[in-house]
Amino acid sequence: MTVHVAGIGRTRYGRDERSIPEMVYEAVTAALADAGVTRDEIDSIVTASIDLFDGKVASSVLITEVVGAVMKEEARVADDGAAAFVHASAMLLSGRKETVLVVAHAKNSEADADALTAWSTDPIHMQSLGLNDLTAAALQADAWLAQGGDPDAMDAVAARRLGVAPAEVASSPVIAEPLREKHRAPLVDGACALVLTCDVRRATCDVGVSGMGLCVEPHYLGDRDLIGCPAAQKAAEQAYRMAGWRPEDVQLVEISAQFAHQEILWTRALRFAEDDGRRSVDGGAINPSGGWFAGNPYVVAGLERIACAAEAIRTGTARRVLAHGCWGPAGQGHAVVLLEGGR
Amino acid sequence: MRRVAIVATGQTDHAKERGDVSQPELIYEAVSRCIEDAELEPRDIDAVVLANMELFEGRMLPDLWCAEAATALFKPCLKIATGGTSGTSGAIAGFYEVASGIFETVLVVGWEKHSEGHTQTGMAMTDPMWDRHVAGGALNNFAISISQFMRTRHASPEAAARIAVKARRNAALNPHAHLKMPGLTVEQVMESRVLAEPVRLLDMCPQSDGACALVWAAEGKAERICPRPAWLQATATRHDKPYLGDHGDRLSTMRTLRSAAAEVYEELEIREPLKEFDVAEIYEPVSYAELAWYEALGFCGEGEASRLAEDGVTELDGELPVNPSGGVLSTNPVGASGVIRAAEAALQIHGRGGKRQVPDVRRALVTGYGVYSWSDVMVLGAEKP
Repeated sequence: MTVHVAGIGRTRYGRDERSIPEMVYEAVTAALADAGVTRDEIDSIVTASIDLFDGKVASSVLITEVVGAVMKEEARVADDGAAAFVHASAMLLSGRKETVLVVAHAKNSEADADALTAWSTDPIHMQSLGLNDLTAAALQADAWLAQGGDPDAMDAVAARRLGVAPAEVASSPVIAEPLREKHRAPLVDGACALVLTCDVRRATCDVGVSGMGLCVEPHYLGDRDLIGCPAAQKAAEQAYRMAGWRPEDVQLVEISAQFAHQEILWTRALRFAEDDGRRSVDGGAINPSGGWFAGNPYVVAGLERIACAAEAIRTGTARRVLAHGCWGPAGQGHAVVLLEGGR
Repeated sequence: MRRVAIVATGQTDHAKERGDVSQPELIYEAVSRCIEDAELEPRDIDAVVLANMELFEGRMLPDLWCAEAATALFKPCLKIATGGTSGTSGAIAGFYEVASGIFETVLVVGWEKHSEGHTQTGMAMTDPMWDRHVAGGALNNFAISISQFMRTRHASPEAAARIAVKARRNAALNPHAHLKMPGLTVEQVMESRVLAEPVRLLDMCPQSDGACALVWAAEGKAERICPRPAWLQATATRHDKPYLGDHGDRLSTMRTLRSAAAEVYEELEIREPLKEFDVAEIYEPVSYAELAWYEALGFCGEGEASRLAEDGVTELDGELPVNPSGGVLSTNPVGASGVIRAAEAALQIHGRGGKRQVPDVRRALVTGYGVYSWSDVMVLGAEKP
């Protein structure tokens, strides 16, 4: 049995003045229309959201109606949207479901990400030190630079993603040494929805899920290989094993990196870097969408990478693609999804 | 479809405050008991599903802090959070992950450490425009629903008090339970102070610190781990509109539980649930809710739940023992409560229920309840589906 990505819908990422349900409604409606299915044809819904970002307990309560979960099954994954995608695919592979809707949302304009991500760190040994996603990323960048990482490469990645000159990145204000404002993807609002199905008649577009992997690293920064990113490697290994692929088979990569140095680290961990001699895709095939820098909200980012990867297959840009999601301080959790056209 | 069974369970010693352990240590207590129970090693677990309501402790992505304690290091791990149903939804998620064929064994861990947060503040963070200033917190919501239920179904405070007594007396037989009250009487419940009319102190569930773990294994592996696996025979979930005003008579209707139960009963051709189940572990957040669930689950006709309670049909020695564990009324670490229901039902099928064991359990009913109107239903059995 194969899981197919049948429909894609999203809002325009940026400052969104609408409420969360209004944003989600737009993404869901677009995904259903794209797949050519009605709400009645959706068996189950998997949502991804984070309570502290939404300021709401069991925050999928906000969107029960707009995702169509009234009197239906909904599972809500409180991690990145890519993890929700993996769970939705597992539901389909169980044979008990035919069509599942996956939805992720976040409204970062209403939530101070740096204040809130501090609450994801160990409150006894880490939080009081001021660790959050920004400062953990800064320590990670420092560790990489100390081991010979090239600061110009960091500027170049950000410049390419943002479409500005490297000098502009290098002169932007420092937000957490050594990271500057333009080393970080903008924090925005939005929602993304995908329709997944194992019913071939409903698979209007020919995008199949070939492999999936999820992996979590240790929580404490001192316990981690912040530069090697073994969780990204292991998530990819799981996905390759399931698909029976090798990294060389991949033609296009969508990587979730909120900070410029992370795109460099994760490109290498996923074995698409120039310097490890295994490079199988050219530079233009890494994050052609712009990646997280194109303006994806937290939580949505991983699902959006999968959506972009699926679109690359639809447009004929590539036949075998890898999409990556990550979450937590310095990328503690990673997800890898392999998609293939013409299955 | 791949057949999947619960082959191991483990839980903490639940209490009002487990100040002796951190959240990861609490999880580790349940997980180590669970895998040792089945003579497994952490490396035998392929993937982990966590269940917890992080806002109750004011945390974000607590799965990252707690993954290592749940044997999830360098493994696939994700967290389910759907309010009170988190635990049952987490258990169902673990089932799907094994049923998908991707994993052979999946560990599900639910936990909550209410003593480290302010639960009712968390629960009051409902829709800021409509519900937050009307009925914030569980108690007020229950009081409104129960008042309607008493009027439409003639449910009596005495019958509710009997449920509260049954739960705390059963809990006295469960070494893990939080509120053990072997000598509790109906009069004591009815004389306890009013929290929100008509709900009295002893009608309500407590807030507990606790964790519970279980292991799902695929057919072939399950029989090697456990001599009497608890097979998942059917499951269904229903969510519903979240607004209080959208539910005229929420408890007496509870259409999500009715509909989810009807789906699994149809799938398994169950016509007389009271006779066809040997035990039930249902999520009853307040004494009156258990009465309402009897009707929604088809244990009796509408308006007959009080009689069922008064006749002792659901006592430990009755026709269908409901919550031999003591239920949510005795132990309520929210993220764990649903996992506890599934684990206790599995324990009954495993035949390892100790003093709370019901004789010869072949089929058990499990329910989860959350966000005032969401329901999960699972049927576990000694026979493969």
